[in-house]
Amino acid sequence: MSPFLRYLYGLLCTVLFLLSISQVIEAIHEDQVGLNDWSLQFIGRPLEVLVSATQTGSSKSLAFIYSEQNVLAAIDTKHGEIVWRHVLENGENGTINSGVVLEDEVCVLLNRGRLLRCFDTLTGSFKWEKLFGGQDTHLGKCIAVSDSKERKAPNRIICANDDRIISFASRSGNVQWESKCAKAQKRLLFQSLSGELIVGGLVENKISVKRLSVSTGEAKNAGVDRSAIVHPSTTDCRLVQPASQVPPYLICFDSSTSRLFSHSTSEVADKAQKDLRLEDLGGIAHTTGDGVFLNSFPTDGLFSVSTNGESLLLHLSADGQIKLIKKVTGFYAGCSETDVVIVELADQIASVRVAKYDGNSLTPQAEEALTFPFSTSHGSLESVTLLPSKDVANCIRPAFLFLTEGDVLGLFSQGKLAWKREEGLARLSVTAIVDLPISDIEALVEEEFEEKGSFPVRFTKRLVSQGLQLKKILELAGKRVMSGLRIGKYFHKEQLERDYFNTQKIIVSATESGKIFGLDSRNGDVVYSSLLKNFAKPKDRSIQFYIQRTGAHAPFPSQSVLVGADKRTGNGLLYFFDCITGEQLDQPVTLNRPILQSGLIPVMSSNHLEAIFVLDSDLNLSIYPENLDMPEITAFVKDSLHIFDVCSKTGVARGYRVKLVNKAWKAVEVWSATLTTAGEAVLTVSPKRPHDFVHSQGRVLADRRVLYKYINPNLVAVTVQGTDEGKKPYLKIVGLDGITGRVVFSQVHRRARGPCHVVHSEHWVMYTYWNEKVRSNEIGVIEMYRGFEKPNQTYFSSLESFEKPELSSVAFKLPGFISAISDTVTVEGITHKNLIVALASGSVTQIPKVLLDPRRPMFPTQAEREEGLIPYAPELPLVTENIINYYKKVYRIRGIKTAGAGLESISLVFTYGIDLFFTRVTPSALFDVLSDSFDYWILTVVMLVMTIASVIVRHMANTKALEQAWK
Amino acid sequence: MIFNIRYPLFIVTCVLFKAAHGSEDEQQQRDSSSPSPRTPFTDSDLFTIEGKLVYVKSQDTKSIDGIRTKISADGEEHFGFLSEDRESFTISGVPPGSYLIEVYHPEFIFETARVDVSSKGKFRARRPDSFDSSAQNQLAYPLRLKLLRKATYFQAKEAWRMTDILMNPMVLMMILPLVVLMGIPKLMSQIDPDASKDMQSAITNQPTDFSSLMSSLLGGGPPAPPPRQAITSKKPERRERKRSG
Repeated sequence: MSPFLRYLYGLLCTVLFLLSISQVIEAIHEDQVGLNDWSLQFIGRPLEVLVSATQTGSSKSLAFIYSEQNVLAAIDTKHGEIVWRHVLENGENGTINSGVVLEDEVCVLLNRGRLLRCFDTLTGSFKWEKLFGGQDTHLGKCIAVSDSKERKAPNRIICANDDRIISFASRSGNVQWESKCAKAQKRLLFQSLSGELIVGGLVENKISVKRLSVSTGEAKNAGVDRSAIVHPSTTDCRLVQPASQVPPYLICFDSSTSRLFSHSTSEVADKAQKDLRLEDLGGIAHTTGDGVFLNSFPTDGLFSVSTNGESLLLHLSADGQIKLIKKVTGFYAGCSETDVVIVELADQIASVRVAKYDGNSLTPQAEEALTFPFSTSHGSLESVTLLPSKDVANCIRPAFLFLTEGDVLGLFSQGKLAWKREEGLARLSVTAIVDLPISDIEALVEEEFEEKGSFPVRFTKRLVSQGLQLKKILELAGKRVMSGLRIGKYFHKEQLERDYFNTQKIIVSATESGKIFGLDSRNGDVVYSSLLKNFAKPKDRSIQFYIQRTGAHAPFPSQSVLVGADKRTGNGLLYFFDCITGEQLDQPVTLNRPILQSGLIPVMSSNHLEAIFVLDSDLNLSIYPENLDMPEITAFVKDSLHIFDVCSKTGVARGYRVKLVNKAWKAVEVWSATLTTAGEAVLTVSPKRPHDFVHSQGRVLADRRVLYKYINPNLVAVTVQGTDEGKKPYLKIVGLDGITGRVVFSQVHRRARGPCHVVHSEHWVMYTYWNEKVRSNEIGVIEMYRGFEKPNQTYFSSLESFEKPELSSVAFKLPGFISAISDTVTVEGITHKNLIVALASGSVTQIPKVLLDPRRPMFPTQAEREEGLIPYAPELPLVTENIINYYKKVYRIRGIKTAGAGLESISLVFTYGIDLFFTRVTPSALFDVLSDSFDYWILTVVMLVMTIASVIVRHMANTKALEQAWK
Repeated sequence: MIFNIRYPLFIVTCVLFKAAHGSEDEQQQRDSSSPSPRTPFTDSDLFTIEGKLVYVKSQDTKSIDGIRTKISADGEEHFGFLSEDRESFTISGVPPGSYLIEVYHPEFIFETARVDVSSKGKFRARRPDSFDSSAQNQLAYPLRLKLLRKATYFQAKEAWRMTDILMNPMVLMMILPLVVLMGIPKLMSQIDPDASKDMQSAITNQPTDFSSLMSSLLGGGPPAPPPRQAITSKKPERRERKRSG
């Protein structure tokens, strides 16, 4: 074939292929927006809340928040809604070091303290950015100042990073002055009450302080260096002015040593340099690593230290002495020059009090404290930011934004809780989509058909049950009418229950800091949330979540367990809860050692509960719940339980079996294999999901032969990255049998590197990587086949199977940057699979599995065309109709969870990252139910017309017959 | 499930904590994509990519602004924003390397480009899918990214058209019998009586009247009663009464 013909042929194939996939695509209609999907936007864990002191020209009062997740957002303080939001760069390029708010601009310092970026406060549109130098360190601090004392509103931004201080004019971003300063590991920047700029720097064992002029940047003194035992990374400082005539002091707290320091900023030798232990001051226990919040007040000499939900109000006298004023479980905030707002937490109620400080003690201003409910799921208070009110003198009814340990951001205003936001939802790390219990009526119907007892017994049972059903229906109708009369809603569902096609579920998820959420899958409403005490992510492994019993087994409550670590000791911690209501079921179990591995034992006990096993670092195996003493479980653990584990640090994979030693279970190593050599690191480990349905065991080829799939439920795909002699990275993917440790396949991609995302299901593995050579993301597909011979067994056993599967593999170019990947799951696995891919651009798209077939030929033969194979094209087309979240973009997606519904055609998709998105996809279209677009109207009209026509015709026929009879 | 597992084998895996590797990955990524990996980058090593979006400003493209538009270099590595003129952008703080420049907008799709930044600060732009930097793949720098199209996320709902209704099988099913019902008797009546007699004699076993056959089918009752009995039916009675009155 000549090249031209070949080219034409290729073109034709592409066109045909595009035509064929246009049939596959099943995009939603525009009027279906929000029908079966919802998305929620979040900010993440706030680092600082910025409030403009002088807000002008806007009816909305805004608060600006930047978060750990590199998000800058403006929140409407009236309703708590996001007015605008910018999801900045991922990783260190977007880490926000500091933020300032000016009259009409909000600016953040990011990219390791080297880039200042400003946005409009009202619309959030980008205004200007300035890149200035600096070393590759992670510090920087900006403050907003005004250049003259008469001006109240700040009009310049002064930023300092490790070696320079720069002043920018607001609005234009012009550099006004630049000044060098000594290098520091932590930079401090303050403006004193007298209008001077105070620049501090922390280096190991040294604190340096310098005073500068705001308008010119000239140094006012030579700068003082003082030795002090500080760790720059764990120390935070505030400027406290003891009295108006005295030079201010730097108050620093080192959380690694729990020590509080005070340093005078004056150049005079400082005699009263203080170094105090926090315990000596007020006796609040501080454990290393806990967050500590320093807070300075407008009141002379007052400042507060908060940790673990407790706060100390301290006073610094003019001679540098620190004394305790009051200790409280809650938080202090300065309101005016004399008033202090105290928020105290007790018994799930927060009480707000305003007290006057007269130089010695606090006197409460009002007898009655304002209170608002403060649920235990919020955790302790972490910060309080007062909103500026119009009459500054009046602090009696303060309004403030508060942030809690459980990532709840709320507003207290006008004596009540105005709103709260669950920002913890932006930090989910494990999720599950759980079936809801069936409704009471359906439970009765189920009972009706229980086949137990003789005929009369069953008959009476049926009668009784039907009577009960009738009663229930009447009760429900009564309730509906009552509630309808009361609140005007006749079809208000107060209870979560399963719908007809089981598409309504509860999304149970947990964050790494131990906060549990239950979300209603209809709209994303938080059904419950709770904060676990002392729960944390184990070191070098993720938290695990197992559902031991779903909601389908009434009257037993659903049960699930969260496996993590104790925050204080790092030992294993198990938390049992009901995933429908969020209630704690048993006492949390604390182990004596860290957990190595855990898993569900697939043997159902008499009360429909599946136990879990936990293997600790000393290879002791324990089974929970402990009181479950069943011979089946014992037999399973003894005979069939194999445990597989990969240590991410050493790259060693190990297989264990379990033995009974001295009446206790003990794991014994069966095999071990080192997956990495020097310079290599394990990137991902992906087993199959426990219940992976494979409907068809083979593929029928055009010549009517069957190509049998190699389906090994124990296969684990491990990706390893390393660099070769030429300093070029390479990627290795290894398929291991988890029982025997046998290597089933192994492939190497030269000049490829992570980040890797792996999907492992049925007889295939898909993995994404970055191809250095063509500088693009690629997706590799490996399919495994047994061959044409029909396997004799109806089961698969790793111990009996020694065959090497036939591999067929291929790679496709994927336009865009991938942040997460998953495959669709349906009830029986009959429906085609689609790949769900979340991209950096905010789109979540689906790619039909047909396109990711390694058997796609370059030039299909007649037989291959008959089989329906699409000709190979190196690039996967990203069709916009396939974007399942259409214009509702979701960012920084970390994971995608899919689950089947009651209908085979539907797969539910939940993506989580900074934003949440839930939808349903139909990979093979809605084949088992009438689609929404089905024309009921036409059907009805046709039926009616037919009926009417038949009546008329009959009448006509009768008349005609009569007339004929008269003839 | 088809597998009846004789050895109910069971495995669980330690799923790695990805974030622990995240920072390493990034570091590697940066190192390897830049021709001269140097860490830490000093300010002289950081460059700014400049460009412009090319589109017609109209009511339709109003949403291309500084809040909804982001210009990305290599995914979420570096972002640039549209300035207040709504077309020019800069991506600041970019170390030397090769970057894929994409425009992220919820509604519009723009061209993409690849920009190579040398360690001396030279910029070269080319088509993103090209492997070599030959002349025909070169693009202008500062970048000019054209608006390609508006993204279509939805399937068009089929418009209501009369022909669709008429061509609907259901409607066809209804209309055809109607035509037959109305048309055949008309045709029959137009046929010459002698010819029709011939035809009737030819089709001996056929019922004489088509409409009576239809009525019997639709009415479900017995075939039309013999003519004499028709007098006893109610309607003719009424007619008779009218006549007599």
